Amino acid sequence: MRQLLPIIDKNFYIKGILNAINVPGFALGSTMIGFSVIAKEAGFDIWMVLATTASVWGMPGQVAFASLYAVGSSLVLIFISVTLANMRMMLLVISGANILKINKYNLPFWKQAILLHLMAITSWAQIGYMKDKIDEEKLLNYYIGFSFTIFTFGMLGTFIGFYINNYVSNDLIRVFIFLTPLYILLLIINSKENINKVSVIFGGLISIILYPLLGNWCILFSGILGGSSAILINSLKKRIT
Amino acid sequence: MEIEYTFLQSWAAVALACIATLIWRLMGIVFYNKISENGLLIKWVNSIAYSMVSAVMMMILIYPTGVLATTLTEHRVLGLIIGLSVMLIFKNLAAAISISLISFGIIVTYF
Repeated sequence: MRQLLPIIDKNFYIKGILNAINVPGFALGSTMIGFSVIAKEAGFDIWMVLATTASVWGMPGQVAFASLYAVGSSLVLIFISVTLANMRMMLLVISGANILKINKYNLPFWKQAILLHLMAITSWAQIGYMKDKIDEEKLLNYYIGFSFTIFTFGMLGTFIGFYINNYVSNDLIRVFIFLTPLYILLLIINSKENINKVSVIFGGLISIILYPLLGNWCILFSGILGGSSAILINSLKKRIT
Repeated sequence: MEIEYTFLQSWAAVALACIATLIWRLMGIVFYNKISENGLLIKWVNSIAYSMVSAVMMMILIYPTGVLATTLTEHRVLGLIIGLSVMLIFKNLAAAISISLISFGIIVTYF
C-alpha cells in the first residue's frame, strides 16, 4: 500500500512524536486553551472552535477571527482581517519547506499542502532548531511526527479550554500561556546561524517600538525591517572579512 | 455594522477564516517551488520569518490580550530575562524554560 506521507525512517518519526509530547505540546495545548476561552466568550460553540483551530491552525488569525466575531463584524471584514493577520504564513511555509527540502521528495501538490498546513510557528521553530542536530534527509520524518502530535495537542487544548475555565483559575492558565512565547523565543534565539540570531533580536526590538504606531501591522514591518537589516549586516560583514 | 449571526452565517465565517489562511499557505508552496534553494531570496525570506516570529512572540509578551494581560509587563519581561540568562549561562533549553516558568509563576502570584 502506498504511504500517504513519506515516512522513511520510523525512528525519527517517533523522535518527533516524543519531542512534541514535551514542552512544545503542553505549551501549544495551553495556548489553545487560552484561545478556546476567548472564542467561547465570543459566542462560538464547541464545533466552531474545533473547526477554527483545525482549519486555521495559526493563533494570531484565530484570535483576530474570534475578536471580530465577538463584536458582530461583517463576514467581509472577518475575511479581510484574518487574511491580513495570516499573511506571515506564506513566509513561514516558504522558509519551512526550504528547511525540510520538500522538493527533494517529488510530492504532489496536495501532499505538500497537507504537510505544510501543519507548518505553524511552533513546528517551524522546532525544525529550525533541529536542522543542525538531525541529518537533512531525516528531518521530514521528524517534522511529520512532531507536527501531527502538536496538532493533536492543539485540538485537545481547544476542546479542554472550552470547558476548563469553569474549573481552573486564571492564575494557572496565564502561567501556561506564558510558556508559548517563552519557548519559541528561546528556540529561535538559539539558532546556530548568527544571521538568524540578529534577525530575532532586530525583529523583537523593532516590533516593541512600532506597535504603538502601527498596531498589528508592526509584525509585518518588523519582519521586513529586521530580516533585511540582518541580511545587510551579514553581507557587509562578509565583505569586510 | 454589527450583526447577529445565523447558524449559516456563523459557519460561513469559519469557512472564510479557513480560506483566508489556506490562500497564504498554498501561495507559499507555489513560491517555494519557483525560487532557488540557496539563493539570496530564500535567505531573505528566512530572515524575515525569524524576525516576524520574534515580533509575534514579543507582541504576546509586551502587549498581550486575554488572560496574560492580567499580569504586569515587568513580570513577563523579568520571566523572559531569567529564561534567556539561564540559556546563555547553562546552554540548556529545558532548564531555561523550567526556571523561567517557575520564576514567572512565583513572581505573578506573590509580587
